[in-house]
Amino acid sequence: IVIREGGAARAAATATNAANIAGAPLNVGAEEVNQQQQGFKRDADEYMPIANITRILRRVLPTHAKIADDAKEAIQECVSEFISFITAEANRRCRRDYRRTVTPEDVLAAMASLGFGDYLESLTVFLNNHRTQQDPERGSRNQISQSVRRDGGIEVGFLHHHQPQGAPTVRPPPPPPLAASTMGYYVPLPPPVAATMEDEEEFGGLPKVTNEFGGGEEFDPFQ
Amino acid sequence: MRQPGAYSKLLSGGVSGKTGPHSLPLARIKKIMKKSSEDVKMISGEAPIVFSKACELFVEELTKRAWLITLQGKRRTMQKDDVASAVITTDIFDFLVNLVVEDRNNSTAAVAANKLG
Repeated sequence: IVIREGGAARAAATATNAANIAGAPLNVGAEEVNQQQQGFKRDADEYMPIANITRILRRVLPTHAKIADDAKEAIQECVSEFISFITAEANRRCRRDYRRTVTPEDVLAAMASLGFGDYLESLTVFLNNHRTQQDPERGSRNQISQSVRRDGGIEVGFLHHHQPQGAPTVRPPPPPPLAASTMGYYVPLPPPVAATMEDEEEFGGLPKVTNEFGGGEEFDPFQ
Repeated sequence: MRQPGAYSKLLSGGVSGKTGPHSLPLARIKKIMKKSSEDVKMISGEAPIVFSKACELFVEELTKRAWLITLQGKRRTMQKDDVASAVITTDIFDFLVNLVVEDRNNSTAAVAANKLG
């Protein structure tokens, strides 16, 4: 298991604290002071804000429950690790299928194959609602379906709605079937959307490909 | 980062506009996703949105399990060790074991991990 940067930063901060307690030289370098500050203020790039996490855990605990600060911090670290863990698997799927964009479907399929299948139902509903709200017309056509196969595996794919008569978009041929996937889960590739893709300029810097099986809407909320 | 637009009221209801329509900051989720491995290139805009919900579910599950352990110890304050024990006793949280158990010689969690591992 790879040791994450978060853990390393924490260990460094602890070491610095220990050194200070033991009466280390007074001229602490600026870098060490910085690390100490980062150790105390953990809303750094690598974690979810503690306030958000606290709000979530308060929702499931009784009102009288108390939570130690280091327990909250432990949960904070676990969340980041969870994101990394799932993303690494989702990215692996992309690479395997020669795709460059990690899609929500990849994330859902990764969760299913890593044991978090229980989350799929809520997430599917959540994502479908989001798509419908973002773009009522196209969103309601781009819905995720989730069904349990005969062999008990979970299948995450697209509901194929028929296009209305006279629609201007041309239906491209269906994509080739995927190679054998892990643990029997399979995510069929959706047909490429005719609309323009948002440029993910931050990432990659590769030339824009017009026939990308990017999956669903390329909606970028970060612009 | 885009400010929440008119649609955010539909999605969020009572959630404060500070973090946008989702309860976890999407840009930060995206950063963590990018860091997960060297070759993560492009991320669909919706992937962090899925994670914002998935992380909620994850926190809820981890918290509930940890709290059960707190209760077993007849305590009202959830400690870090309770979180560690929840991780150790849940199969799908195996990927977190090395994160929560720092010192295998001390702490209740380490003792439990040693017994199971």
